[in-house]
Amino acid sequence: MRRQNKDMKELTKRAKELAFSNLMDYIGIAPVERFVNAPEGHRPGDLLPGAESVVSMGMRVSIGPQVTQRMALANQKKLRHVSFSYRWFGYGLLNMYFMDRAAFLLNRLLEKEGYVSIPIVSSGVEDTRLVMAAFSNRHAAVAAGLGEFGWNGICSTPDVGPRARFVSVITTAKLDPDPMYSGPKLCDLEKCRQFGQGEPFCVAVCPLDCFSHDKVEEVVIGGKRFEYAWMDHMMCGKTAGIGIHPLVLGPKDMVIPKTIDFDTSVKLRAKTPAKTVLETVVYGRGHFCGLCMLRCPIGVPKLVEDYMRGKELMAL
Amino acid sequence: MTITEEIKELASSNSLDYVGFAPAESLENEPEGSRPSDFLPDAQTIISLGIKLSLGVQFANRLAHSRRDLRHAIYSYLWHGFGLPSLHYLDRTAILIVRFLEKRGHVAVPAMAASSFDIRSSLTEFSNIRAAVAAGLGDLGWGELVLTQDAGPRARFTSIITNARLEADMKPPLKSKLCDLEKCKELGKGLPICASVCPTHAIGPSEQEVRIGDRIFKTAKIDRWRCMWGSMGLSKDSLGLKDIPMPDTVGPEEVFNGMKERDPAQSLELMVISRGDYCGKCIMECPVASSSEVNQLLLKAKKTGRNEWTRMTVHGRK
Repeated sequence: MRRQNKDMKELTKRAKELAFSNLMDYIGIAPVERFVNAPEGHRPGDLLPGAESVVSMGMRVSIGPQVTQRMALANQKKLRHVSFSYRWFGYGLLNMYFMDRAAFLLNRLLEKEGYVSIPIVSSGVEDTRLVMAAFSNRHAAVAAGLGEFGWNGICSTPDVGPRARFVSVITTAKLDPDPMYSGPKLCDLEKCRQFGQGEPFCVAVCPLDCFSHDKVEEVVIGGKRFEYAWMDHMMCGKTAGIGIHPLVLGPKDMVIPKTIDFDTSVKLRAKTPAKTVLETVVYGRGHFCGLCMLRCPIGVPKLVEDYMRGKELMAL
Repeated sequence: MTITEEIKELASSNSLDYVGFAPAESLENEPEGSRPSDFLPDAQTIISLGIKLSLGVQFANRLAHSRRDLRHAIYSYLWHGFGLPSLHYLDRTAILIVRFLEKRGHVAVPAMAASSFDIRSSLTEFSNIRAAVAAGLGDLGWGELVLTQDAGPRARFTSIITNARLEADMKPPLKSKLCDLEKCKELGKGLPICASVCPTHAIGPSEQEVRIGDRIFKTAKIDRWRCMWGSMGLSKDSLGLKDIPMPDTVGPEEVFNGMKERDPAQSLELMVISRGDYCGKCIMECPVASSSEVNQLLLKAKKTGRNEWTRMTVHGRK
């Protein structure tokens, strides 16, 4: 039963301890009011009436898989196979084995204390027609103070930029909230344009030109306004994401139109060669690209940059 | 600590809610090929492990079934109510217990929590449900699900068959049956709730007797293929994106063909997590140990809802 007088600071502390003891690198708490501008049907209160807080937890992508993915993308002919390490150790494993488990355990902790909580899947289940999840983990991460949006639309943290993954738990517990990020601006668009020869770096390095050059997304979270580039999620997720784009480790004979809609993506998927399908049949999750995240200058590990110096072209 | 105490400790430290032990002979009435001795010739004991579904994922399932505009709420249930507890908690703990028993000189065979399905017989390799009942973790309900006292059918189970002779944990049968069929028929307007809410009419009307140890349970016969039609979301009532006409007689071929007919957006939906059950209505709407908190949340969601999807039962009210 709900304990009305539960010390929320103590419960928040236990939630954070649980996250860190389960290898999470980040945890932040956002009151649900910060999600007032989220799309209808995707706000915390739509999914859980009486929701009070959203807990966002995150995990850094380690340096090794960052190197292998960049090596694979920079040398697709000879080193395509080294990207396997990133797809699992930089994506699927973090989501399925660490973050979803932590969310599951946090859900149980909060329920034992009398609060109903809904754990959101870290990635992999979405409305495939809209390319939209039930709830946005990256917006929740920003709302919970873990970072701010980069131009690539990913939550960038002060220490590793966008090289982190996130999961959320919506709960009726009114946990002790964290302030939103208020440190120095992380995504310096003007400086980034210099790196990117006129375009922000994430836009310049996207091999599929998924980021709009003029359309901007604007969101207001907790009274704070953010802007990031509009992105063609269908092209990104349904071609490069599933490994069928010839420019991003996909089969060289696949022909991908410049723009695609859902129906085209289904037809393309049906044409996926057996060897590509079989490659991911066991572990399922993973994204074949990630360059907008890996090459973002915010928090880029010097080790990776040193290693990759001179080995890759800016836009592949 | 005794071996059984160590196993119980291992289970609880891995977030499991239930652990029980049954003599292997209690399941010797199972169909040939699915008895403990078929898996391990000198099987002595069945260890049953279980984990409850959290209230949040129960609510997510019921919300998705009750509000067309919030179908996406099912995603939390698909993974956090099915795949994750099965793969990450039950299966993982099972392998830890198998390793522990092997170190003690015993052989142990783990069954899969969400078992592979034998297409020929429509049976799972080994019945985790009957093993849980044999181990005293609950009763067998009308819909052939384990009913525990505190969560009703809202739990998942796995089993380990071992040649270690462990002290059986047979608890005395409850004084009153958890599945009160007559009362349930009143709630379900003549049919037990599990049968009345099943979108594919997979539960009954024919009945069967199931013998587990010395106990005999009367349950509905379950048409596993009709159940699969719902769990794969092949009708809108079971959260499919498209109503695919279900033939009167459903078998593997019909399910396979039905899956090919799915809206492509739905077939791609499960591509990544691979597991999940779109339906689960017989579990969620069973009145045994139904959570009042989930029911209250549903009433709130229904009040604010714009677009009702299917009939919703809250403690028998419709």
